Amino acid sequence: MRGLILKDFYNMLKNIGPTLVTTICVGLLLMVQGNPSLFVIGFAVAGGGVCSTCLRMDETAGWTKFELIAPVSRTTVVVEKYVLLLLLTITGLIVGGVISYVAGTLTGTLDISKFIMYVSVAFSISLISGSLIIFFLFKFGMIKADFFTVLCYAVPVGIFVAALVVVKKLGLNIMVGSPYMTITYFFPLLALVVSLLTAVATVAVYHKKQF
Amino acid sequence: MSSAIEVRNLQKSYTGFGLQNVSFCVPQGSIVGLIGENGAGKTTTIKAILNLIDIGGGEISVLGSPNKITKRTREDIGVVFDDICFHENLSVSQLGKVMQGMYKRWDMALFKQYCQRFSLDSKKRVGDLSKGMKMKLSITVALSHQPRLLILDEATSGLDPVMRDEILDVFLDFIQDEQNSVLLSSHITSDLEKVADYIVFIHQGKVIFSLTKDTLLYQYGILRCRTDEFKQIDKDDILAYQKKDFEWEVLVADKEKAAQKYKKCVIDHATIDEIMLLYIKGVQQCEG
Repeated sequence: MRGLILKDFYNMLKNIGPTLVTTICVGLLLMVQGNPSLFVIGFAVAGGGVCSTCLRMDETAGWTKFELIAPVSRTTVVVEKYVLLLLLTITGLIVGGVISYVAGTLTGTLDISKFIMYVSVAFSISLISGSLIIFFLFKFGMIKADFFTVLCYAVPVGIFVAALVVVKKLGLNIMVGSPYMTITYFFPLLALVVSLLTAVATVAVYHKKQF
Repeated sequence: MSSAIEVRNLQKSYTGFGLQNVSFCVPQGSIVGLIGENGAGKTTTIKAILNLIDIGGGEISVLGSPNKITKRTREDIGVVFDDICFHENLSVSQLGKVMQGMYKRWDMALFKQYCQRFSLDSKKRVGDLSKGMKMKLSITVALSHQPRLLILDEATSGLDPVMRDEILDVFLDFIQDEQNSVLLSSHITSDLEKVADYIVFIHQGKVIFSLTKDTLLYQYGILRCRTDEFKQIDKDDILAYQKKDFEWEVLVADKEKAAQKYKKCVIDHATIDEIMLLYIKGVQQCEG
């Protein structure tokens, strides 16, 4: 697995410029909504998105054929991508979180409870969408999986938006001290479960794939 | 272990094509050339050996490992495909480090040695290398983890004669210890005439012959004759034949014997190309 992660790291370095610019622009767009804490979402989701970019680069290069004749099991190939997704999501969270925290402190708009919620949401969106994208890329390949990519980002966002609408309509308070803050902590667990389930499914799919 | 690869009655079906009872072996310490026209089944056979595709029947044993190739066996196999499989933005040295993390027996000193031998600049990106240099890089990677078996699928296609000659020398060096083996699929038969010990000819999914190169080059012959002379040739002596404009060409397994028997006919030695063409374009004499 060490060689696979190193390969993806080199590929990421090559594409870091455009990724950073895109992420900063998205983060700033979210920030102008008035809440610097939203910056963390941009960075975390971008971090997860880089993982699917690495997978696409593998397919374009023909690397997937080489992996199968190298002394690396198909399970390891799949697991490496999920490990990479987790590492990149956490990296995005840390970088975006620090920027959001500092920006919020400087502008005097920092709300700790909302900040924690946004970190939780960012982690969950990145992990769920990234896990689904990895599954579809392994299952269908790059070209066919493009159709599902949009859905993979829309689904977790849709879940959170729907949950917020429901919570507000029911008059539930999601501020600090509210017992409904547990919802904030529930989503990362849901994200980890979704990630694990898609990883198992992806391993099963990849074991049957022929070249 | 006497064979690096043993294929017995391999079968694989696709729509409109299939491998039918393909059987051959790669003896330890030898170079086996796998020849056949485009679409004959060479790549499918190699994919089956490498466990990249499921097979419909038969048995494949690689380096003593029956059935499927294990992760451990893959440490001992170096594979070169006809197209490069590495990311174009990686540099040669970065690729070496990636491979070091993938192969337990990766020898970085050996990798650098081959890079020097093939004039591969370690700082150059894979994407900036010419086609020939990319192929040399693939071969370098395949050799640098000290494999016992090399499998190459059309690895020398598209290369100029000088580069091909250089690469063939590497293969000859590789088998010097008589423990290492090479399976080389190619339709450049002149390369195989230089280095191969055995030739396996696949045509339309079937093995037509699996013989030593010396048998083909020094015993097989092409008998050229007129129509009346052709009618007098014993059918048991004919492997394949073809009607040309003014003569018949007949492939025989023993040109010395044929020269004694058919004194009026002209007997020429046969190149592997000519043998292939007669089998593909001519009429094969059925057995029995």
